[in-house]
Amino acid sequence: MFEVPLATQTILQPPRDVQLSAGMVLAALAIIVSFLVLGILTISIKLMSMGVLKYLSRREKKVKGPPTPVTEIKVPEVRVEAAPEVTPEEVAAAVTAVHRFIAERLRPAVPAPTARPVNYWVMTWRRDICINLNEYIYVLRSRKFQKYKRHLI
Amino acid sequence: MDPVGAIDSFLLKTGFAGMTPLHAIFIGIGLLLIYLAVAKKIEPLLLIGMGTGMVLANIPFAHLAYPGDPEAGIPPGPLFIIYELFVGNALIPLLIFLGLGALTDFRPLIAQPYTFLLGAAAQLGVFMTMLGALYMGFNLNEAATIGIIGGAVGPATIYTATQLAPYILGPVALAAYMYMALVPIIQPPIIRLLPKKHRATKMRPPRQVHQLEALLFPIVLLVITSLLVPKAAPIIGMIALGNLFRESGITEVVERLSKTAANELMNILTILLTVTVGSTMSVDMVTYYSRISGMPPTELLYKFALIFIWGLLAFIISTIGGVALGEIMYFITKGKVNPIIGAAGVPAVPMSARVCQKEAQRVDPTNYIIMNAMGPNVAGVISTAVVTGVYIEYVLTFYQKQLGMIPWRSR
Repeated sequence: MFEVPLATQTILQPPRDVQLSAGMVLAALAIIVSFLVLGILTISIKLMSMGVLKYLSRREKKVKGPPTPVTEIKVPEVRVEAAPEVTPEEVAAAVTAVHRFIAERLRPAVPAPTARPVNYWVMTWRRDICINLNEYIYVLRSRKFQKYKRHLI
Repeated sequence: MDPVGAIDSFLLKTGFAGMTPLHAIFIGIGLLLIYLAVAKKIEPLLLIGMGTGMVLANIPFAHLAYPGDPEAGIPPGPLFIIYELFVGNALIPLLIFLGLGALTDFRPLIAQPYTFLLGAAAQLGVFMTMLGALYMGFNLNEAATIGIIGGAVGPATIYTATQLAPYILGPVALAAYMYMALVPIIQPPIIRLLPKKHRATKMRPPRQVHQLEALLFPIVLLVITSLLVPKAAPIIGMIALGNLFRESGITEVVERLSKTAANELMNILTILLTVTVGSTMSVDMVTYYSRISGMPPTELLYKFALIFIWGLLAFIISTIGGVALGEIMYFITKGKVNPIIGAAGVPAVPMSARVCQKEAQRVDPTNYIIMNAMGPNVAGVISTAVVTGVYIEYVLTFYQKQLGMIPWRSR
């Protein structure tokens, strides 16, 4: 299988002029055959698609048939609990805090800020709303708030 | 034992002592391929294996790609065994087509069947290069193999080489994969020759293709193409089988086969193929090919260098062919077809389709033609398979009639 045949002369080849004329024929043949085969494929695929689409539309019509009576679907009753009331002042305070937080974060880091970072905890303390922006924890009427409620005015 | 003599004999057995300029050149090229793959990200999937195979096969005295010498009792090297078992008999290229079929979505082609013709037009480089190489001194079997480089389908190039000119397999495969990676550099200058107005053409996105159409496509393809060009049946059959796995989607088992063909099998074959093809560019293999072809190694190396030039020309001419038919379609359809998609007929999937998209957006950033370009792109794969079949059939018949044998098979 792995025998290495020893060659003493160049591989046997037909005369040069015969090869050249064969090459011309091959090029012409390859062009004609490839366009012919791909042309036939183009038509076949087009016909196949048309046939499939026609078959599918027919089947769809058959499946549709007479209109079926609409059955009523019972929708379970959804109970929505009322959202906790928040005063406009509280919302305004929270929005201001968020604005300042975003502005602070988006500010270019260069040159490095020398001022101490703002404690957003402090900023957002209002009667019944607190937002811990430093840790991305948003608490609204939370137990945590309840814990600190007594310290508020 | 004489210590000086022992050191001397050890040094004489190192690779450095056995290094010839040709070894060094091949190792250098192998390292360059690894560099291009890793640092420049040029076809890393293929070039890492090829480069490593090239370096390994050229380590003096290691003889990893040595064909063996039964008379002297020297066994063949491991890389040569893999070459003979999997590449020499075209097994790996065919199995890669199975994976390609399982990977390829033919829906853009089914939605716009006329793009088959763009795939055919992009074979211009295959025909012209074959003629050019033939007139410049290559033999017909070699010229046909070199021409297929322009088809831009690596496995088809390897398959043709194994059938028609196994002694130029290494450079032909390397040229095909290298130029496929260089499509983003080769194609844009040709595309930019088109008028700006034509390049800005917006195309309607291809329609939705039903699952049944996608399922019937490989069957139609297999039956029609195999009956018209029986020599293309192995390639087309594998593509169709892989695609049938993909599109059938009937059971979990078939889906498993599809995934295996597209992933695990393809990866294993890629490793074997790239390392083996790389190893064909070695001193041992050049000597072996020289014996098979009867050509002196210098002549063979000269031909290797010319193959790279012809390969580049093949890619350029193929792109021109595709774009030219695209332009004709633009006029016939009165401006409904963007001629750029003709360049995607060069089936470096999906690279050339991406190039088309990039070039279209260069003129109009809101233009999206990638799905339209995928049609000719996959059509190009089928076109190359058809042309491969025609070439193999014709050349083998020609040699059989002229000489009464296939010379490179009988040696």
